[in-house]
Amino acid sequence: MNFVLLGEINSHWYLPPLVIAISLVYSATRFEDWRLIFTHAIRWALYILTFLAGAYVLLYLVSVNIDPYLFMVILAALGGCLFWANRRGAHSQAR
Amino acid sequence: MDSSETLELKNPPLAALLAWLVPGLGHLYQGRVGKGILFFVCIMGLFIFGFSQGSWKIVYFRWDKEEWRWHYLAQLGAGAISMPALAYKPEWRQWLPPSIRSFELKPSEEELDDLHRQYGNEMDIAVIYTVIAGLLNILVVYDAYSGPALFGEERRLRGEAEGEPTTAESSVAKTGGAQA
Repeated sequence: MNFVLLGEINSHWYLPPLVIAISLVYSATRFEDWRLIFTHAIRWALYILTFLAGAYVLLYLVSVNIDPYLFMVILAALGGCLFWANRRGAHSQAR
Repeated sequence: MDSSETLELKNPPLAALLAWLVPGLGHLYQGRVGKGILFFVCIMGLFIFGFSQGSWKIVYFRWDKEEWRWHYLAQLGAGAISMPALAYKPEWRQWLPPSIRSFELKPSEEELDDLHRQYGNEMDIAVIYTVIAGLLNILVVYDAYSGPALFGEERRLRGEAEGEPTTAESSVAKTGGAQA
C-alpha cells in the first residue's frame, strides 16, 4: 500500500498530528468532562508548540553567526516569555 | 452533572486489559464511549500512520547482541497490533500465507539500508510515531483502571461552578471484578 510521505511535502507536517494526538489523549486521561478535556488539550498544545518554537529559535541562533550580546538578549527574551507563559498558566489553573 | 457524582468504573482489571489490547476498547466496555472513540482514533491513527510512513517495516522485535530493539518495548504498549512481531523467527511463520508471513518480521539488513537510503530520517520520525502511540496507550490503560488522574480536581471545579462545597478528593468507584 502506497502512502504519501509527509516528508516529501515538508517534514514540519509531521508535527501537527503528533501535538494534537498527544494533547488530546493526555488531557482525556486527566479529566472526564469534555469541556475540561478540550481546554486542557488546547493549553497543552500551546505549551508544546511554544517550547518547540523556543528550541527551534535557539538552535537556529546557534547555527548562524550572531553577535554574542544579541544572542544573550534573545535568550533572556525567550526565558522571559517562558516564565510569563508559566505564570499565566498557573494563574488560570488557580482560578 | 452533579458535583457529588462518582465515576463508576466497571471491572477495572478487565477494562485495563482490553484498553491495552485495543486502545479505547476498555473505555467502550465501561460505557465511556466518547473517550473510547477518542483514544482509538488518536492512538491507532498515530500507530498506523507511523507504520505506513515507515513502509510497514519499522515494527519488529530483536533482542540480541546484534540489535537491542528498545523501541519495540514502547510499541508493544499499543497492544494487539504490535504483537505479531513477537513471533520473530521466520520458521515460526511457515504455516502463514506468504502475503502476511513477513508482517512485523525484521527486514533484512539490505532492505533496511535501502529504506534508510531512500527515506532518510523520515524512517526515524515514523518510529517515533509508533513509539509515542504505545506510550500514550499506557496512560489510557491507567485511565481505564483508575479513572482520570485529576477527577478530584474536576469535581472541585464543578462544585465551585454549581456553588456547592466539595472536597478535592477523588471519587472513583470501581464496580465488578476486583474492588478497590
